[in-house]
Amino acid sequence: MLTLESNNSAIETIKIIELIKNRDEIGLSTLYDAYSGALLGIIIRIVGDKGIAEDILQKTMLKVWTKIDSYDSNKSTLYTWVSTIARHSAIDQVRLVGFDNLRKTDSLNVNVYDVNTTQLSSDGIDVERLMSKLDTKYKDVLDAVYLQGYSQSEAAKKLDIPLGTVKTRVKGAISILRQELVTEKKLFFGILLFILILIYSQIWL
Amino acid sequence: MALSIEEIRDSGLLELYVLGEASTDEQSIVRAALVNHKELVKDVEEIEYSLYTYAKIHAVAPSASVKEKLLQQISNSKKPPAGGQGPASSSAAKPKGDRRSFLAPFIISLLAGLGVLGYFLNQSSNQRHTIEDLTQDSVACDSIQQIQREKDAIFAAISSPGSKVFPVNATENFTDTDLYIHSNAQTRRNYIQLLGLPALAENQSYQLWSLRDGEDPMPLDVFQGDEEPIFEVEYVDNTNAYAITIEVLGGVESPTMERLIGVIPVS
Repeated sequence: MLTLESNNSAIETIKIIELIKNRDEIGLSTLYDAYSGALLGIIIRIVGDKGIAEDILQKTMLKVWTKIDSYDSNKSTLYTWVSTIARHSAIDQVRLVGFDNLRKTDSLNVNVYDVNTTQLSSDGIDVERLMSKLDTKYKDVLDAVYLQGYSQSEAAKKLDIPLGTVKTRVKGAISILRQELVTEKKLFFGILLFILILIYSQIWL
Repeated sequence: MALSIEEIRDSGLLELYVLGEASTDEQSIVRAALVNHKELVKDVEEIEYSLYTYAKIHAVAPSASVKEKLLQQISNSKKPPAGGQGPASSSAAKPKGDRRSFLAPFIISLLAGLGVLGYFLNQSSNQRHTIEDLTQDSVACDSIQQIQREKDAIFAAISSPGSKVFPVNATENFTDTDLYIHSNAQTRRNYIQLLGLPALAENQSYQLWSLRDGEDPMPLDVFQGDEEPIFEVEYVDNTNAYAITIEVLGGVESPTMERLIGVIPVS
């Protein structure tokens, strides 16, 4: 079965793209299963309403279906391309309808955020440990710019910090995530190797 | 001048590029760098994977009906349009005379109907364009009002009690530099006012520093000088002076003293 869950495997991504280009619904269905949760998490924080967010998610997937030929894998991964469509659609909706006040999703986060933070993700990532490495000052900026669709200058205003600080913290937040994910990956493969050695030694001894 | 790998990495441009926040010029710089330095492709992939993971951690499960509706919609879009072969073949079996007598009033009604429909569609289209124009005008007005509100807020801040103005002491290589810091210890806010700055190369930025007794210079804001003539910068308690230097794009952790433009004593 095709899956995009694990680390955006390049081969699986290519298959998905080919399927969608060939108008095969399995391609879009697989893409939806892999990305819909992450995308809805972003869209809902921008528009602040689940019904509207789900409409935008559906429209995003339809755009992927119809515009797949314009996707250039040399410029970005499939996820980045799809998430950019989703974020821009959500931001356009907010600007068009002018319900910027709905973008205050602090109360919304309570229901949607804690669900996953105490679990291991499907990639074997220790979410709780990962999030604990991200100081609040970094998390606030990354949430505003990446999850809530604020431009950097809007984020500076929202968080009441200078624009330069926003830029520095965005870079810092992503650097911490990168560093921790590399560590997670090494740990994961280390444990895997240990188990394999254990099994191997059991068979031969 | 093309940027080196380290300059690109330090500048934060890769992160902006993946976030979709890079300007057109910045996108061009990154794309050129990705072609020239294949090592940076891995950096971009790691940044993308970090953000993907972060989004997955904050995922929200959509209702089951969303996928059903989506698949139904693409399934419908693939079906051939109704009214193809079927009706034509059934009508072919009818006698010719009957068909003519039936078709005449039908065609007249159809043409009249199409005329009315065309009129209303045209009206609807005009109205839609008007609404779109008005929406764009409204967004533009909001934007202008917002800019004006921001300017008013800055003016109010630098005129508020406790706000003091400190001029730059330019260094000898940059004597034309003209800038001020408006600092307010009560509100703990700083604004920098740029009146004259030396030119930057393509791969350079201005960087502000906080200088405190007995401590290394603390890196603060990085800017290009093409922003507003006055804007907020970071306030740091117990700063004796701020300094401004020219650094590589995106800023550095330690100032380059050869490119020190000036010092602004504030204590």
